[in-house]
Amino acid sequence: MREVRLSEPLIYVLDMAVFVGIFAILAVSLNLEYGFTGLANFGKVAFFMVGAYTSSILANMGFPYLACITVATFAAGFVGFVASLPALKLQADYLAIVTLAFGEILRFIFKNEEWIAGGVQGITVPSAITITGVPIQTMMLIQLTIVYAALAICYFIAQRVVNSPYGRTIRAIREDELAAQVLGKDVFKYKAQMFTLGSAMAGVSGSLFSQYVRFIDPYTFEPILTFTVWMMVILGGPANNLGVILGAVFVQALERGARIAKDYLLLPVDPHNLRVMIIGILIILILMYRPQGLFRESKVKTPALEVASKWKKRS
Amino acid sequence: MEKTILKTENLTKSFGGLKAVDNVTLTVKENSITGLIGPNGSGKTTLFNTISGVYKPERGKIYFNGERIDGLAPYKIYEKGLARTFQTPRLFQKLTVLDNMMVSCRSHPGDKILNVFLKKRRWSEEEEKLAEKALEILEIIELDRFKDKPASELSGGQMKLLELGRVLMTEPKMLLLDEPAAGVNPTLARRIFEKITQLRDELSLTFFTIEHRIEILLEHADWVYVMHNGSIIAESPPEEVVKNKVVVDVYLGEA
Repeated sequence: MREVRLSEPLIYVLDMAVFVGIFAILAVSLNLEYGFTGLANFGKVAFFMVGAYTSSILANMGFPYLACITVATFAAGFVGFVASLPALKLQADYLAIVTLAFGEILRFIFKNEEWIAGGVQGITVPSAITITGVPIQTMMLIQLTIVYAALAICYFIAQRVVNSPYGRTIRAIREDELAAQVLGKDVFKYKAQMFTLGSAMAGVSGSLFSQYVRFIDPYTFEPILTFTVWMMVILGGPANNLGVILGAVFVQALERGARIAKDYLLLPVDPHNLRVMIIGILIILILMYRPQGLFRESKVKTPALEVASKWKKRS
Repeated sequence: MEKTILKTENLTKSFGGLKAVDNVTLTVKENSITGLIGPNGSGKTTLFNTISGVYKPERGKIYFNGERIDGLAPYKIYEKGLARTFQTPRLFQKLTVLDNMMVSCRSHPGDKILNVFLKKRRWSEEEEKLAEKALEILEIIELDRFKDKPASELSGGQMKLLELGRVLMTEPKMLLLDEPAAGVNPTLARRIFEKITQLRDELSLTFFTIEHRIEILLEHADWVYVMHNGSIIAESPPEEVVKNKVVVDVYLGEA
């Protein structure tokens, strides 16, 4: 095996790309909940955490990658569903508070219950991919492929959902819940379904994350992670799936780029700390001058659009 | 026109000490246009909110088509065929005019999460048919030009029209209209009511509508209820209401 220097620029780039993919999945999932359905989920990290822990425990038991990621998805989706039942009875702000608290409670459980996954000590995650003796770049490329395949699937699912009559209904619920109700929509059902789907996607992301970093502990899952995902959605443009993915690219480029800059450039300030300020300033600027985000809300693309465009020519 | 479609019995709803709806018993005949008038704050909208399930009644019963509906969730009442509009239009602001219409489709196969993935062809076909229907309704209410515009860009009167169009998409048996012609110019207001009459005749719908302009009700309504301080104080055909001494005193005022 060729010896590699971990400071090789390619590794930084690959590392950044993997993180972009993992966070883009989270951004897409939050976009389904907040961007389209209007659910202010400030506990995104909780479902990411459930996915990561489930996947890690299974990997430690020797299960293959596919099993880890599948079970993690369902586990996070299930926890999301159960959490949504009481939480979705609440209005926007209260939902935010309750989900935020839920994430922290879950984190404290993992922290204090050592028997689950090592408590504060954390848990090392064996690779569930059984390929050995390849250089680190190849290994990263494999990871990268898996992450982006998962992102592609999540993006496809999200696009399919929002460009359908169902997608129209969840947007309507976001705009006016009472009006949706008197037009025959069981609002609670739609919200619970979107919360569950969003949580399941976060589980996918958590599983990929644990397999990539290979070590997780409760400190990995602090609320700041949720806010990072929120930044991606707000910057990219809520209710635009492509926009929030670009938001993820942007925020992660700043996050990871700051680390690279710290290692390579001689700057009078610490770029890693500077990035927090840059992101903060950007959010303020975006909210002041372009509250809809960099990208506008996407249209509901269904066959109805085509019918409507022909209608113009007829009359 | 003899069958009763909607009936309330001793319906009461109060806020704190105020009885907004006080012991209201009324019936609406099937296939009629029934008006509801009364001074501001007399409880008309609260009555509509209680019937449509937005508020739960404190006391009393509501029957729709012979079935008890009081205490049901709004979407269940809608499923039984009783739809409503709001006094201040509650449109889905960021959605286009066409999407606002399409949201209200009844039992659309594409409105279920699993069908979105499994039955794309079926819901796409249905979607095309419903889009045609939506556009036809939009043409009637003269909003088809704005079909791709977000609802937030419409004028106040157009918003009222869109809200009316939106409930027509739902194929209801009966509609509760909360001032369908408020804020609309007189010509259009007249046309809205002509439309309502036409729809009543063609689709055998029933309308229960709050309206302040007594001359419109004189022309189009079959029966009028007058509300004051939460109670029904009079009911009769519209031409008799204007002669009723009590009604003139509390509502119409001396000529």
